[in-house]
Amino acid sequence: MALIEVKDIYKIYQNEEVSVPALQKISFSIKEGEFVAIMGPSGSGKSTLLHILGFLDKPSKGIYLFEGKNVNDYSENEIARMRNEKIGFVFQSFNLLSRATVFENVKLPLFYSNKKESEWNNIAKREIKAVELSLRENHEPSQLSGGEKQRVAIARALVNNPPILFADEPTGNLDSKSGKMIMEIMEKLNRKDGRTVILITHDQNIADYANRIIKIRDGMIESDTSKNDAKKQF
Amino acid sequence: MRSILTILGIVIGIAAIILIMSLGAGAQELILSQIQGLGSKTIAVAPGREPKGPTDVAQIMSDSLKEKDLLELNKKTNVPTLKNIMPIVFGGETAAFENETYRMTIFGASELIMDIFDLFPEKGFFFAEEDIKNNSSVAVIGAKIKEELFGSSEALGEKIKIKNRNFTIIGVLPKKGQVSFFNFDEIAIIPYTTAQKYIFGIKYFHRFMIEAETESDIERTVSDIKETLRNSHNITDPEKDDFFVETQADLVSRISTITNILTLFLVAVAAISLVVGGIGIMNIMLVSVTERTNEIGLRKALGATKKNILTQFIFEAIILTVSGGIIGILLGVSFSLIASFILSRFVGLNWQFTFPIEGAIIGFVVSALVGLVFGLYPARKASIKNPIEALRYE
Repeated sequence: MALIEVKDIYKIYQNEEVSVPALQKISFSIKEGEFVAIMGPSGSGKSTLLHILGFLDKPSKGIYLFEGKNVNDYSENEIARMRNEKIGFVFQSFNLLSRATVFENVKLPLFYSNKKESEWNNIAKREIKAVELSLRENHEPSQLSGGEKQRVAIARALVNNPPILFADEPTGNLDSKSGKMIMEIMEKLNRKDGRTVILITHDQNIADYANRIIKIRDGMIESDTSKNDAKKQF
Repeated sequence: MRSILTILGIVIGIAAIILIMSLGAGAQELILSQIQGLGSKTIAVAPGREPKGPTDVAQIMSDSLKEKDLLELNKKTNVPTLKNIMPIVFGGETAAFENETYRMTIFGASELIMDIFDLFPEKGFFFAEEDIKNNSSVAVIGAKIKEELFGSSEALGEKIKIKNRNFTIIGVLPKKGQVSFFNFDEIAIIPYTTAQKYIFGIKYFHRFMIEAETESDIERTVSDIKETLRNSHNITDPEKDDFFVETQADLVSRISTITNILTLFLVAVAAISLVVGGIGIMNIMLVSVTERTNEIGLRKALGATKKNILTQFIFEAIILTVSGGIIGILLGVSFSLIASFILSRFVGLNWQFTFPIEGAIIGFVVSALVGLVFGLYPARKASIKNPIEALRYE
């Protein structure tokens, strides 16, 4: 069974009398453990697609099956639960709470989870250690470099141990050295931990880390290719 | 800094409420302690109808209490538990000594005033039963009158002129201040018969002050007095009573009602500032929700439900207003402490500081309620934000 399956997804933005289609007739499925890069120029609809896959948005038309269940049937609270337990999100602009420490930022998703409060600190510490930021635990985001901020965001995304990680241009605001480090973490999460990773990029070098590339143009799938020789260094 | 300015309205409102409640309680205590100076066995009988409400003006100057009533009430068969009865007439008059004049209250009473009001001359002596029978022109004057008319020189034996009649001063009262409704420092006490005949020219009384044998007799004494006076006045329907009987307990409860209403009214005025403060809170919360749009989007992306966001922002508003409330309570208590210090030290009142426990509880609860009510709308606005748009907001 596919982890994610979308069938004939449309997203249409209604503006007064004009309707702008952002996505048209999108269909594909993603199996557990895949590393997928969604590529396309800006305005192609790739972010919209990621938002729909990540339960932040709903398609105007079409079916989205997550673990075989139709997401359209979910109530708002069930959607919130899915966001919390099933997916981790990494953003281009990090989206860390500026007045909270690294530790508090990583702990944030646990507030909305079913996990016991007594375990929160240990879980958060473990994830911070995994991204090698234990020494920075009590720093605020303003004291961190871009690469460090993104590692905090990754630790936060993984704190509820979700089966799938979404990354929206995770290296977009980083220099190439930090970007490489982030991608190596993503790769490790996929190869070693078997986590499904779906990322958006317009950079071919970043996309090359993935073993499947879906290219989108004008809201439609242009190509969908899987590689067997997965890894290529830059 | 912004938060401090925001909660200022709440702080001032709660502080004002605490201050008013504390001063109200203090004033009530002060008045009640004066009434209690009257003695708990004392019963007052006044002419006219008992006032039924604040707008019902009693016929205070009615002339229904006569000499005949005094005789009837004095009969052991009518009111067996009556220990003493003293008729009173009173009114304002000007007295003159040489070139000095002074306006005072003339109090026509009997020698029983010593027992009933616990009043004894500091110098000289009180008039006796004889003087009442003989309409004697003698007076016992209050400390203030003595000072105004005679200064430091001797007053005993001197004659003062009231309504063209010379009164010999036979006693001077010690400084006593306010007792019940009378300031005895500014009163000249003369035999009630003299006052009726030569000063006021009336044949009735303004009050009967009656002392019961014991405190437990009060209720019985009151009903005996009523029955006796009804018989004497040929009244069958108690609704048509032309007199009313008041015990110290009645007086206490009436005064308490008045001061409570007054306090409540002032508290209501102070509460308006809480509404204004609440609007300030709502305003700043709306700004905060807009500023933190990004955070709200993030929290939603991480799994926060509408309810989570709603609760968070309401909680923040309540923390804001409750801290304002606590500061207000502390400020209000300190102000009332200072006020009671000034009133007792510099104004010379026998003022007791009262910690307004009720006020503190009300202040705490009300400030939390203000947070809840005025935080609700901004919190709701936050909770319904679309996560994508919120995340995109810079």
